[in-house]
Amino acid sequence: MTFKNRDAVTIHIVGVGGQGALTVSKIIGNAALAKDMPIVISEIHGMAQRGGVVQTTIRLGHASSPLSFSSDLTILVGFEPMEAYRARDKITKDTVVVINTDPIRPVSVSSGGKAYPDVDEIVSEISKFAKAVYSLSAIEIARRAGDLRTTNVAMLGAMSGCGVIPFTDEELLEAVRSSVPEKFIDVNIRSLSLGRDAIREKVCKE
Amino acid sequence: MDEILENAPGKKVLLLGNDAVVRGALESGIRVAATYPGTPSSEIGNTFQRISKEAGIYFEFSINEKVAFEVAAAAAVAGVRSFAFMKHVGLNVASDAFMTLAYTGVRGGFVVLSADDPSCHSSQNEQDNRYFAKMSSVPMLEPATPEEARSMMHYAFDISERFGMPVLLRTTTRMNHVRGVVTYDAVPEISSERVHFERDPSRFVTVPANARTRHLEILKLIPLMKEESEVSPYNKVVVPSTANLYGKRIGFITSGVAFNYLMETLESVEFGMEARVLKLGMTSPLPEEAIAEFCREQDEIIIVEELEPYLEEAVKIVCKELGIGTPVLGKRDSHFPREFEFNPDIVARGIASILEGEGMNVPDLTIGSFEWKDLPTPPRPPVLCPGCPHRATYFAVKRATKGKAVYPTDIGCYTLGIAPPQSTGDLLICMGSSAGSAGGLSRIVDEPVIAFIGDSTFFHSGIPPLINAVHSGHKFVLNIMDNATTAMTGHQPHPGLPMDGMGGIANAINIEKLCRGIGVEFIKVVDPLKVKDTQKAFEEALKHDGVSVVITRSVCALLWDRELRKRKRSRVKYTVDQEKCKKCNACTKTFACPAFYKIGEEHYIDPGLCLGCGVCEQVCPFGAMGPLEE
Repeated sequence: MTFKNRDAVTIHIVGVGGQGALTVSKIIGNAALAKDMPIVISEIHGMAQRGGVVQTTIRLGHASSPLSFSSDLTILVGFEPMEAYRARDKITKDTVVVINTDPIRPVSVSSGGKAYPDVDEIVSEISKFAKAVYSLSAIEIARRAGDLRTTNVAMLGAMSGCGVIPFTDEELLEAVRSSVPEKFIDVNIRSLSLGRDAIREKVCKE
Repeated sequence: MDEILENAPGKKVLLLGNDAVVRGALESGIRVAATYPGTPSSEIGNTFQRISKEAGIYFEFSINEKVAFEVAAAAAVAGVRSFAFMKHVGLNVASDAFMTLAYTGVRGGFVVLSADDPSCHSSQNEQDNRYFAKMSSVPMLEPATPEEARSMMHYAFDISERFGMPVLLRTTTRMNHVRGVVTYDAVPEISSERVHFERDPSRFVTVPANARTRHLEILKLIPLMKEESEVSPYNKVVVPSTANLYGKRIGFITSGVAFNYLMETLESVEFGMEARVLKLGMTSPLPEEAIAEFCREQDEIIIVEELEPYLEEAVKIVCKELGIGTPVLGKRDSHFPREFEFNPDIVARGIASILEGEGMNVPDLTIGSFEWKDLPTPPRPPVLCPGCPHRATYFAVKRATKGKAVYPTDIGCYTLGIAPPQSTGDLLICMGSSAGSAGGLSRIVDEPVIAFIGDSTFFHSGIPPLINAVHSGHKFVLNIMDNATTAMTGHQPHPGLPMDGMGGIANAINIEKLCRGIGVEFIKVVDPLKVKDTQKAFEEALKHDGVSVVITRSVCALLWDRELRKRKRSRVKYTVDQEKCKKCNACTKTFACPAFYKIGEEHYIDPGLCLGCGVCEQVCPFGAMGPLEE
């Protein structure tokens, strides 16, 4: 049995400190605010600066709680592939999953000798159960946009490309404009639309 | 102008709970604010640091929470509105002042915020500070959302001034670190005029004779504050808008963020009951008559609250005293957990377990899980950053002690030294406990004792135990790890730095002079990025007969990195010479910089992560690590 708040869209972002997930949640926040859509964002970033896991839950629409039922997730966004797999218990048959395929290896792997999972296998395992899985290399998108620091906005573009977050292309564009420093607007907008196109192409093929 | 200062009534802004609190304080016209940084309340201080000068209020990062409390409380005694805020365990430090300020009361409004941390996201315990209100008779408010926190600040200052009492605003992580939409009220002009201190020693000087009188005064206030609680707009009955509108009449009593999870549950899961929710925002004193009236109308009462059964015990007393027979259920009968924060799943399961026990048909709440393949997901704990001077210090210490020592440690980034390969953390209780506990250990254990304490923590509560150690003739090494900031909570200043909380210039207290003044005979200051010097300093310190202090001084790697970027200066990158590398793994096994990685048996240094601290060059026994030549 699963429980759903029919009036809310729930986004769960997982990643590693320093990847810019917080900025993405602020951009989504500004997009919601601009059209008067109720929003609540919950962040756990205790020691994120020191390479730990970052988790953000965003709820759009009528939601009473910043945390949803575990069976009530619209979209899981993995800024890092292994972190997406770590969060697999939140995936239901109605959940869309977006994964950045660029690994960030924790110290336990890079010098501790622990194994890091195969990224293709992560994607194929998740695709067995989730409603849909879309993957992309955010670094590749950001490189094409012209600034490696825009991987987070590339992921926002990817989220919008799936068609499950309740904002139009123009609304997100405006939100990026109003959320990032002036001199980084253009490069972020490029990253946003390249990320979106990369996923929208895959969605259209289905 | 900073957006949080805008005098734009009606404007809707997406604010972090902690910033909503700052906004509420500004709208209430505070003149003084003080804190010692501690998560989940840290961002409140960071925002005051950014805006206080422009806002025309006095703000300081005090040496510890007790002093912060006293600074702000005194301003309120003098007659202006003031605000002290801290994490839950910070209120333990300030509790001496808190308990007695309840006797004297205040003349200007005074709000003290406690940021509790259910689930210990960034804390050493998850104590429930609602009991501080009960113990002190201080009125308490518990917001559920950022917007409620903003508006409650107004109410808190209002009742503080009406009753002449400090008010406790008790928050939890899922309010402090939630972003929600907040609607601005007006911000008043802040007066900069000095106030005349009206003397009233019979009230404000708590000698025993006055304290006895004051206690009677406070006891007289309790019924009046309870009357306020009965009519408080923050204590109200809420009806779920969907689901659970018909059936057995079940009344829920809740406070704080638990209300959010309860409403999500009652509006999503059809239990087949008629649900009513008594949402309590003012939870000390409790509105006992309103609670009694609510309980009388229900077939059953379920209490939904995080951590301790604070409301549950109070409601049971009310029902017992007034002969109300409605059953009251909660966590005393194990339907709800007493540990960790709640979520909608936990609340739904708690309700289901009660109803099922009564023979009601409840929805199946088991979540079907998929047959996930067991792919490796190695842990990703927070680690000391690349270039962090603490890692280098621990490396040198381990060499100096040859593994034979007991390491009391303290609260800060350097606590991360508990992880291998550093493994330099054996005892930690609270802020400053390293220096105090080292004294006791040094009298009993059969190994030398080296205690670690950060610069900010040393000022916070490391100085009295160091004096104690000198006076008592304890023999241990105190390593003051001076990285010129309060790093863990987000780089706030402290008394050792020449800057204050408002961006002004401050008098910096010199740590070695302070130690000398106390009477410490052995004091060595070293740069921990120089491994041999550091090792030697610890070896000498260990030989000293008495308490010795080693100050390892090197700026926090994050600040150093930020500074280099600001000056657009490139960093020296280090690399591994594969011909010299004997693949002995000494680098990963004894130092383990996060910039190190291996492909097969070969070692590499990630140039994107390397800060160029140069310690690896001193760690490698074969000289295989060195600066990358451009």
